[in-house]
Amino acid sequence: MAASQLALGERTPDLQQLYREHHGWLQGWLLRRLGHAGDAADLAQDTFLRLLLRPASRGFGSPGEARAYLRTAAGGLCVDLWRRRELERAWLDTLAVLPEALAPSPEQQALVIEALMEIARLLERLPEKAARAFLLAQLEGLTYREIAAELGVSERMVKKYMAQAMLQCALVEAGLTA
Amino acid sequence: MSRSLPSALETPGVAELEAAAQWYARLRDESAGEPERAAWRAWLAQSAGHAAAWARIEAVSRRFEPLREAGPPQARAARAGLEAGLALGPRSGSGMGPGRTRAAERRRALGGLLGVGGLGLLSWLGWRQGPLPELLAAWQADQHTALGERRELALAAGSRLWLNSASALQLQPQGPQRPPLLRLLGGELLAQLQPPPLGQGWRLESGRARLQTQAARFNLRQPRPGERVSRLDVFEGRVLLQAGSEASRALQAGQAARFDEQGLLSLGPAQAWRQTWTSGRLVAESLPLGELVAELARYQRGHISLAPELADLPVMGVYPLDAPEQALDMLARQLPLRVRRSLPWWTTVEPA
Repeated sequence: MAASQLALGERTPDLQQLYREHHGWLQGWLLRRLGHAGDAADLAQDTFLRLLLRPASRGFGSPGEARAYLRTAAGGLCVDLWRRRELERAWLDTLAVLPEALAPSPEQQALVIEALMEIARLLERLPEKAARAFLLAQLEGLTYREIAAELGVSERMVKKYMAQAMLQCALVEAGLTA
Repeated sequence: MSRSLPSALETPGVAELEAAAQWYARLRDESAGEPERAAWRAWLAQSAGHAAAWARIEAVSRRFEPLREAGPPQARAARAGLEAGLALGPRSGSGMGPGRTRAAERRRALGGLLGVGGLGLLSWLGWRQGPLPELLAAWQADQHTALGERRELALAAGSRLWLNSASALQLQPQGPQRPPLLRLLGGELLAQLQPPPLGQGWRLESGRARLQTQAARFNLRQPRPGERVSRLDVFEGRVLLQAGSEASRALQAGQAARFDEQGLLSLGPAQAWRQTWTSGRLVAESLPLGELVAELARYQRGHISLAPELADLPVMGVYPLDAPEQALDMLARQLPLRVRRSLPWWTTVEPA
């Protein structure tokens, strides 16, 4: 823990202004896309939050540039939201067969969904079969032979999928790819 | 930075990760036997880069472990959820297309069980999800610490500050005659303040509370998410505290105050252990277990759930804040309790 001299005066003047100028527009754009005022308000806030947490991308040449950036970021968050809800629905549907005593508490639910979203981010760029092979192996412990039968491919292909999926996850985890 | 990652988690090269992924696929094959494992061990021993790459493979696998070990129904549900979630996303064209409409309809039907994103982004900050203007302010903080990080700051004329894990501080210059206004935007700080050269006192703001002092040593702690109460412990000197809309009140060395947005809740003796975190250790002498766990939680991602009947157990010892898991294991050896880690961010402490 080294003592560091304080750097004073480094200010970030333009985010407040950016917020004032574009927040209303962004919320309107999101409302048209999502069809729900509460979601639109939440995601507009999240979009600015993202800008705030990744300050490298601040500083826009023109209002048009700022809006293009905000639109891209907000679009990504829409996909995230849809994904989260789709994931949650399928997860709950499948869990519904469990006796009530084993059902997770709301807090556990939130944590599991968050963990699944993180895994989804690792896997999102993979071809569908590679992702499915990897999930069958990692989550349900299936053998290559069983996975091959499930997916209708050869065992050699399953092995290839496994290496491909693991590499993609490891690259994302190591911050070497998006 | 007070912590560095173990060397095994240094970023390996892409080629090494490729090789490690190939090894993983070979070893996971049910037909793999001792010859493959021996060859893999030889590869692993060849270089630190190989070991670093393999550590990443294991880190990926560990993400799946708790879901798999929760049992077949849970694992099946996790897979169903992931497959549904992955049907939306960059691969299927930025979420456009049939999946999107279907999801949008279901989304309306569901009404949103969990609220919206942001959770992941915010959790590393460890701050309460506040209104945006507050978060904007936090972004402008001159100093903020990540979860598990502590920082020591030198101010003018021998004054020092320590920022605890997940904290944010802004220093607002007040001109050449005055020391900067300190604004604690979240988290906790320990201040060791000397009289400023020109006699103008120090001022600190935190939420709706204002502190003033000429010289003092004190610890100020803002509530974590889920908590409500702030706390000020004065160890040396004298601090004027104005909480909420109440009048100022002087706290002497050895006194402490609990307060919230409205005002003062109670006064009591200062707790000496509250200054030990700056050294990365928590020194407990008859500290209620609940308090200790609350401190450890400041250093750990996720949630520690403590059985209420254990909260008042008195604890003695020196606990490493930088290794909360190790601290919990120490407790499990000293006290009649058991630590269960069912998910990476979910730790349960229950009676043995």
